[in-house]
Amino acid sequence: MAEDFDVIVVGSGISGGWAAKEFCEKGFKTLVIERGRHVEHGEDYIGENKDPWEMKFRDRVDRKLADQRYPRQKRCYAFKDSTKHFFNDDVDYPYSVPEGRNFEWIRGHHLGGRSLLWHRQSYRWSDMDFSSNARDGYGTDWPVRYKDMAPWYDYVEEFVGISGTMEGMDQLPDGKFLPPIGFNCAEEEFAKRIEKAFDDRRLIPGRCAHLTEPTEVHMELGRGTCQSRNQCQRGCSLGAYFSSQSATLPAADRTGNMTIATDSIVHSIIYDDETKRASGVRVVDANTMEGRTYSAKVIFLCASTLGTAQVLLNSTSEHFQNGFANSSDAVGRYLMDHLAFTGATGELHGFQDHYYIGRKPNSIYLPRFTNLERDEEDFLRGYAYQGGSSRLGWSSRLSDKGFGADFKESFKTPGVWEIGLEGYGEMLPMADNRVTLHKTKVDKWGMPQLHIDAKFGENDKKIRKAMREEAVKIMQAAGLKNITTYNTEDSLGLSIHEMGTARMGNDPREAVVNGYNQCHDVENVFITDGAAMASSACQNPSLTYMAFTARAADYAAKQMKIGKL
Amino acid sequence: MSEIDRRQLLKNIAIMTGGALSASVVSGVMSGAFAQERIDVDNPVFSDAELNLVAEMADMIIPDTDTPGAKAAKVHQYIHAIVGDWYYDDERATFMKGLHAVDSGFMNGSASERHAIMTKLDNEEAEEGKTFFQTFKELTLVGYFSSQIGAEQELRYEQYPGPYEGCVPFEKVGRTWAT
Ligand SMILES: Cc1cc2nc3c(=O)[nH]c(=O)nc-3n(C[C@H](O)[C@H](O)[C@H](O)COP(=O)(O)OP(=O)(O)OC[C@H]3O[C@@H](n4cnc5c(N)ncnc54)[C@H](O)[C@@H]3O)c2cc1C
Ligand code: SF4
Repeated sequence: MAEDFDVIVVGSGISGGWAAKEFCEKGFKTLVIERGRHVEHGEDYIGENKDPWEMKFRDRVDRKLADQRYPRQKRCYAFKDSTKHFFNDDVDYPYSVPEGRNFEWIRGHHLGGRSLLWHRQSYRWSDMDFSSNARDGYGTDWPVRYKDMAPWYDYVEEFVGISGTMEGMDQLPDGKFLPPIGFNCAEEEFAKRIEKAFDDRRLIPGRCAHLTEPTEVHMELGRGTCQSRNQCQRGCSLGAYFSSQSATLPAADRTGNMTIATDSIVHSIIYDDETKRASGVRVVDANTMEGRTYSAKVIFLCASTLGTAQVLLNSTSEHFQNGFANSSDAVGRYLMDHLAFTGATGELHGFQDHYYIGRKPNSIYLPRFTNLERDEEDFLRGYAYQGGSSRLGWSSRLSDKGFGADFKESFKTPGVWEIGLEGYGEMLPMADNRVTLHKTKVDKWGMPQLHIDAKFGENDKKIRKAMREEAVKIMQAAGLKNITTYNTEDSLGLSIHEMGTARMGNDPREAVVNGYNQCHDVENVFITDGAAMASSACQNPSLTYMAFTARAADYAAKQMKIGKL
Repeated sequence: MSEIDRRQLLKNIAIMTGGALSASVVSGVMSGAFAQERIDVDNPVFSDAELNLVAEMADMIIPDTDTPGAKAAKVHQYIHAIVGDWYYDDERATFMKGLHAVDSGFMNGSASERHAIMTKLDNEEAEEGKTFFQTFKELTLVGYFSSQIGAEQELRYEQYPGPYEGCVPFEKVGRTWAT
């Protein structure tokens, strides 16, 4: 039987966009299946260029709408009037959690997925991260090490356009960087003071997927220089930040090899008992509810960590009764997110005669400094900090006393430089942090709902506490004033770095995919989104999904060319 | 932003990005071309007199100086939209109760009597939560500094600031960034 396509890619977000680009550029007829609507670069960024006064509630989402339709998504900091159309309506996209536990699943089902919404912080994982499971025994050993990934990080960074600085730190390998979006006055001073006070800690400019100096590769795709609007989540028609729309999809499209099917919900993967391979996928049309199938030689699952888990669990057959490619019973397990939403803020006094131009779309970064060579803390693994500084403006003075002309005038001068440090901690992979399909509840397209059952473990809680306490110590040592801490304990999921529901490992009895993201049980199905992650490190993960996706596509393409797939 | 401003903006972007503007940039920038200041109230709960009182009070918090104040920036309409359309019933009732308590004395008062009333309100402390006046002032400040007048004339605002400069003499900016 002739297949409809060489390759099917499920999902068009960060991972799916990369899979599409790689296969199309290698000459394979590729079908990208996306459950959400089409989003056209530029034209459909309906919130872009809106000034605050053009929005009735000044960019806050109508509260009644938010409460009724977006009770979960509204907890995401990027959920605004100008971005809300890129978030899923929680009523239409339900999932369940056990009584007394919570997990916020923040997402957007549309072409481009969360590549439109992400905060663009992009950090390589280090050899320490890929060795961590082997070192302390939590999670399966990664089949790869940094040296396997380094060339792929190089490869994706050059295409994406990552701005940053070379620092020579083992725990945070350098990359192929465009000029950084650097420090402001207070951050620079803070960095100096930290360097003086600590041997083991260094503050560096964040590394982010913004074009500070576009190269030929970027300009060919119509991408331009970042103008520091920091309203990226509305969409950026300048293409100054990396998204599927600005970069991977147009690159795939210009080859003439890509077909996109939007409004097409992948219901399940079809397993062929005879060939022991997947023959294709079943799709439900999101508008008409009709079913169809597509076939291909190879399938790449890039529906996001939880989206992919849902498809795998829903793909049952005679052979795979508890979920596709799930002889290990690892599908749905070892769910992780980053530990965050705790840290501290403080004031750096001075520099009152200085200011900045632009809304900085980048963070500052303080790379991991604990348990580097050996485990010295009362917890395993570690954490980093992100954050930034700005001079306080009117919004921090809403409860000030006063009225009248002088009061009005006083707002013309900005306040002190406030600095924030927020921890980003590594969460351990635990088998009981698990998603399953709900036994009875389905969504309006008939897909069983995900049931997400996860909680912080003891190690996670220790890291959360350490992140808060060390942030205070760092700020004290750097002479900041008015230091206060914050902590949102009910934040699992809100870091939006969910990972691990189809983990990688060499042993088919323990892991779903091998070192090339290929299912142990079914050789022509690959999982290259966050589901494949065997540990979470503490760096934002999307750059690593890109590197894995490009590497897996290269491997699969070579196997196809020699007739093995 | 007016259509003319947007066209100017496109020119600026073209200069900043080396000239080549893709169709999506143009459509992205122009999509807001006819967007207006938006304060339409779906559930108008204020009477004319109440709206007037709100406008007068807001204007005493942020009066006309070398730049226009709250009334000119239509802050009362913003407050109307919040109270009418954003608030839940109980919050609206609390607000209206607070407003009515100010009512007669303020509107009939002389300038100095008004000032005395405002000073008294400003010094009240809530036993829990916020006093009416604290809420009122908060709405006034948000409404003003996110209005076009407040953001562009009183403070500074740029839709496209240009490449980030992290440490410049304050005079180069001159006033607090509105956002
Ligand atoms: C506000 C925010 C800030 C973030 N900041 C950062 C950051 O700074 N750095 C970082 O590294 N990461 C960040 N992230 C996370 C980042 O967005 C995700 O890691 C990344 O998008 C994951 O890529 P993906 O391709 O796996 O999934 P997604 O980008 O979510 O794409 C998955 C796609 O698959 C589609 N899909 C799902 N199920 C099906 C189905 N059954 N059939 C067909 N299609 C399906 C979805 O509609 C979606 O389009 C952030 C996310 C958000 C929301
Ligand atoms: S900050 Fe840069 S990437 Fe973000 S919207 Fe503005 S120009 Fe685009």
